[in-house]
Amino acid sequence: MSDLSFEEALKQLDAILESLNDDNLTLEQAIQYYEEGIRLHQCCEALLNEASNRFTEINESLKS
Amino acid sequence: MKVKPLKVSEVNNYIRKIFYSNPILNNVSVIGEVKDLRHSKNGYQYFSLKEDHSMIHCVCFQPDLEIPEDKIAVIKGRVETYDKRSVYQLIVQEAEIMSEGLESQYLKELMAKLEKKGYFALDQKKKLPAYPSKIGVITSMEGAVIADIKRVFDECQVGLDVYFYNAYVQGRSAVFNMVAGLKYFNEVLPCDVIVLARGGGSKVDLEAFNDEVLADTIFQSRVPVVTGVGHGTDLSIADLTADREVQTPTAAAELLTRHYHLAIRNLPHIKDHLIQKYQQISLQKFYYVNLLKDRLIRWDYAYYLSRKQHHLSKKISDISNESAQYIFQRQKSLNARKKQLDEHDYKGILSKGFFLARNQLGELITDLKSVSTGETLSIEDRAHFVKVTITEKGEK
Repeated sequence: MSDLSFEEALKQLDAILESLNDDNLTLEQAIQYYEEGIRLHQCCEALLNEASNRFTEINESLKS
Repeated sequence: MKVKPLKVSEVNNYIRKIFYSNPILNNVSVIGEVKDLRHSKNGYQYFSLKEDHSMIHCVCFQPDLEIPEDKIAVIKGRVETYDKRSVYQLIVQEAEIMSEGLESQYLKELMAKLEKKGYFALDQKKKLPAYPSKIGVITSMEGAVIADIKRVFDECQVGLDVYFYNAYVQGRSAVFNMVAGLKYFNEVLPCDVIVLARGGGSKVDLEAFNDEVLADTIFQSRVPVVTGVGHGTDLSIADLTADREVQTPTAAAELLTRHYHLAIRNLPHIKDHLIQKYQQISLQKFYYVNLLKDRLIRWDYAYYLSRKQHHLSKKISDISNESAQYIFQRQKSLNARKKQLDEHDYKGILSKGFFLARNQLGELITDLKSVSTGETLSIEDRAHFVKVTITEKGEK
């Protein structure tokens, strides 16, 4: 899971969202998908935070 | 039998009398081509009457009698000799034109033919070298021509290499000799320029210079050819074919040394000019170098550096902005998905009095028919769970 890139995680999140919109979805499946979606979202956010921090770090080093 | 020796005058007189008393020689009509017509001061006209390789001298004492030069004519008169010089000549009484001279006709046709071949065209003429160093002269070693030419070349003291090719310039061998000379100075001893020279002569004597083979050789010569053939007014075919023609051999030599003489005369002037030019150019260069030095000194390197610095800062700020934008865009698209995900949050339902029931395996119970009495279930809300045991089961 931690090996996932931001783009791959986002792609999987999109697939989850599409599945969640399916009307024939059972409640059990919906919960499973939802939990997986939340997990992917957290993963993306973490990757994004990491990237942002790296950018800031580099920019600071450029300015100094 | 012993014969008494006669005096020269007696023999000459005797011959004169025989000529005089001969009825044929006394009244004769001769047909031939009139050549080399000359007029003496006292109005006498001298010429040659020619037929192929035979010739008879003629004299006309009547200044008004028109002698048709270069024409075939019938000359009436008597053949005479005289005591002083026992040379016979035809004393002309009448002259009647027959037709245009055969030779002239031939010459005209040849000229037309060669002109058509481009032999006389100015754009075919090779340029003479201004400063020739190797000069080939084709002329007869006999006669004054060679001394004249040598004198002119010697006067030009620049160490010219002048080579002479001995050639007959009149008579039967002339064409052959001159052609060989031209080939010699093209192939055996290549020169910068060739001079074909001959002193003055009568029209008949210059026949060799109207030869087609000679014209061919001159035209084909890789080395430029100058003719210096003493002649009257008419140019020979050789003159017309040559790259340059002048009136005399001396003139040819003068033509080829002209630039040397000019250069020698101008040397001091050229030297002055060079020095002047050098000074002018070096002054210009010094001025230019100083100008560059001034510009260098006045160059504001601090301003240059500050501009570069500014440029660099802008780049850094651009990079920073770009990266922030990059993160922002992705955060935005992630947020959009989070919003969609929230719409599917089942936990909202749990706050409205609904609970989730799971069996011991953690599986969600969706139909109570599947549970049996005595089984323990887990009941969950948003934050809590309780374990319950089924005591009763029935239908509603």
